Amino acid sequence: MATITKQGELTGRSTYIDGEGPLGGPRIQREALTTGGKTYAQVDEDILYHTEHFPTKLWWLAFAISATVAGVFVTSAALLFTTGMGTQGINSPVGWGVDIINFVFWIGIGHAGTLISAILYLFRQTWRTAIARSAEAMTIFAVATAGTFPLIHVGRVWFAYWLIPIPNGRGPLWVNFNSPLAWDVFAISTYGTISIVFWYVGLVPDLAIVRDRAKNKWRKLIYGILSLGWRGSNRHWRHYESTYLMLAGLSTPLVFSVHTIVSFDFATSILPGWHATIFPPYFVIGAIFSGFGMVLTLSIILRKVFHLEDYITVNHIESMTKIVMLTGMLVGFAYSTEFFMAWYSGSEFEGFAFMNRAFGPYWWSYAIMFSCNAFIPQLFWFKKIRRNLYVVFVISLFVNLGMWFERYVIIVTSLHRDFLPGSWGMYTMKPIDWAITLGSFGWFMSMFLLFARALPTISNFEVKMALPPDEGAGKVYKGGGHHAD
Amino acid sequence: MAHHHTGSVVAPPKLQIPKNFYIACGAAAAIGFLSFGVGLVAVDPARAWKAYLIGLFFFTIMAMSGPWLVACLNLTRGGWAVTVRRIPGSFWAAFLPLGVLAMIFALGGVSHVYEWAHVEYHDALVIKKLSLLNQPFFIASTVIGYSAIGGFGFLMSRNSYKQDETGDGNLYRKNLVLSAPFLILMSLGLTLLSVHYVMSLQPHWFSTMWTVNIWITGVQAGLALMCIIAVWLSRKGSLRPFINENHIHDLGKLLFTATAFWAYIAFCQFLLMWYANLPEEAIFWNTRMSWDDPMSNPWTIITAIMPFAKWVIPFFLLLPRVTKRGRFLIPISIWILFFSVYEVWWWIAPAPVPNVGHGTGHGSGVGEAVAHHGPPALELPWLELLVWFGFAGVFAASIAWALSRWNIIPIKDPRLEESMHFHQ
Repeated sequence: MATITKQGELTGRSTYIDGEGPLGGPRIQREALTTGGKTYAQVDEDILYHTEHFPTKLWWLAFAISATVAGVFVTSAALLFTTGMGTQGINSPVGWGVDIINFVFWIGIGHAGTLISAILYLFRQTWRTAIARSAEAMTIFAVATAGTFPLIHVGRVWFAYWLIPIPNGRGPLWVNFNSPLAWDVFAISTYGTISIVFWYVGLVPDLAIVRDRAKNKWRKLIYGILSLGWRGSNRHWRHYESTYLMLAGLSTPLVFSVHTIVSFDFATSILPGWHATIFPPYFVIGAIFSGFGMVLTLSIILRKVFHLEDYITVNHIESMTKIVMLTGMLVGFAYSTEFFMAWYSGSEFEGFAFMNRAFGPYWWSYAIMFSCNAFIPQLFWFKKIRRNLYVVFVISLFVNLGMWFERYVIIVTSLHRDFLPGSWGMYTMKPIDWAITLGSFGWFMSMFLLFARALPTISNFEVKMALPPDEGAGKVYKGGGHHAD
Repeated sequence: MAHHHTGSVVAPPKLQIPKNFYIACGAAAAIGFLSFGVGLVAVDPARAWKAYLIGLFFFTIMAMSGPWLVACLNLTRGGWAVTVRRIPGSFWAAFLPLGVLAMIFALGGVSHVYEWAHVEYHDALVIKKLSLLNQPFFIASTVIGYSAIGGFGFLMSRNSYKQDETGDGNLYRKNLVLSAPFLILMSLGLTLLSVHYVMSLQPHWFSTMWTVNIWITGVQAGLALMCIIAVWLSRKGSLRPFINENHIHDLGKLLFTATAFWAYIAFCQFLLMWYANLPEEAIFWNTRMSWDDPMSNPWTIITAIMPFAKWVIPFFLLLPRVTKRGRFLIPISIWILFFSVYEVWWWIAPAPVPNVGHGTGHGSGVGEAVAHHGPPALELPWLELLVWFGFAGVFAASIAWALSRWNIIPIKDPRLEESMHFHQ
């Protein structure tokens, strides 16, 4: 009965057979999650190939570029620490500049991973299996990248431990517990910790597969230690399943809390453009939007370079484009609500802040933000575009760009016009601001490439569990004639 | 595989609603609208119209959750829910009577309830908003809001009803095409309704979160009602092959999610306003609570109950697996429904009403208007409750009619088999 779907045969539409339903109606058939009629052994081969073989030239090329750019990141941060904050463009009145923009941007990117692995898991979206692992890794590296920016922003990084409320020799000097900046320290470190634990727990059965296949003594030892003695017994699976579900439940509120508290950094103030009650859900949705933008960018590259087209299919890409379109429209709805309420409030300061955003000296950044986030994803209404990987890739880059500019708009435009015109100013990025921004992408990509080299980029065992048993066991006829259908 | 089941499964008969049910609904409606009339003449027209608004708005946002859930299930290809989808799929039927009742309010009630409808209250801030806060625009947003939500809800359900007869698999694709624009129109319509009907009760006050708050309150109440109906249906013998405890469990999980999300939205909105303490935002809370002197405002206790009644208690009751899978869900859902009405009452009742023609309303400027804004009185809401029953009668009769007029499950839905064999 089982038939093999080839890659090109996926349509993104369920087919239905008339009259086969239980009460005489049509019966729908969902499309296969993986293509190519893979057996369990082939799944191992395909997914683990890149952890078991010397990296390709393409990987080395990508890593060399990323590591060089990461070098720029480290060097410019070192330059900044040794010279001082004057090397950056921030000044009165724009005291929060590129560091905070990058911080919020990367924290936002770090949302999709846990959303995919936790929330989509709770919603029983089985298509998540193909992208969950790499998205979670992306989350951890994005949070690690984001975490460096507050340290850069404090200037004297050797005092950064003052952020932690510990008994100290500084007299009564404690962190201000009323400040959302202090809440951020807890929110992000909690989120980072749980994300790593969740990711690692999901990796354990796969690490054991790598261990069992290892032919090299050291490899067996290292992956053996990492897999925590996993033998795949009934007891192991029972514990694994309940732990994973529990962690998914605990991670879900964390997906909300992190960006909610990041939004509090702005919204608890009384600054026009910052103080809006919609900020918490609007930031969370924006973070999911940008996170999925980045997952799209990375998985389109990953499937091509690592030959994973049978696992990360066009259907997976299409599902993600729909989430991007939905969240893009929700973000657009939040922009419009803010604009409408700025008028409705009758507050001259609110009204000015938003007119200034759209038509003031930084109008171009607002235009980039609005068009990239709310308008360009509208192209995904067309199925042809959702399934054209080149177009999807370009749109995903626009999403990344637009979300970076969203934070630029929020931070710069609200600060550069103070309440008194005498305190007005402009913000210009200096060379080190550019270096540190671009460098952070290299820092992030280097970590991601190392992950792709060392660990299975797709959840191997979950793909196998989702395979039809006959297909996995190789009991499906795979003669050439069948493929010609 | 499907062939094996075809023989043993029989399409369930249409739901029989006893005549007494409609009589009870009619009696509730008669008592409710009679009380409204008595309130209008003998008690206080402003209070009577506010009671009317409480009933109207509660059932409107609850009815909205039906088409909303149907559209979401269509777009996400939610196979599990097919056998229970006709429950939210019947809520569209309430929009016709509710739309008429809303029109009556838009024409007759506005001047009794909203300060902006009176020149005496036109201070500098209200004047800026008059291009939106006027009766013609109020009527327009009533028409847009009710026809967008109810109309699309009807069209989506109609395609499903048609499929029962024709078995045409293409109809589910037609519903996909309807569902996506519906969600956009619903957001627009609900924004208009939430601003005009509730936010403008205190015309100085504003919150960008308000529409989200209204939406999640409606969804939470709607899911509670769906849970009650689903548990009740699952006990009918003829529906046993179709609705089992796993469907109930998933509806219960959605109710749990909505409860948690409501708490998130309501808390964030409160925290940001409390933290910033801007006068034009704090006015909403100053009407409903007094931080420093709780006894000076009787509404403080009503406000203090909210986080416990709407979040803590239902959250922990819904957390265990067992409470989401059967009869326990009914008392919890009733609790949530009761406190959803309580929340709508809390939005509307304490807001000041125009005090026109009572001797002091002749001045102009801010000072005069503020003079009426003392701590609102907390009265036993007997009139509000009676009028609410009137709306409840109309709403219950409408959805009972839709549930019994067509099949109780979509018998020829392409995902029916998937839903029948749904296990967790």
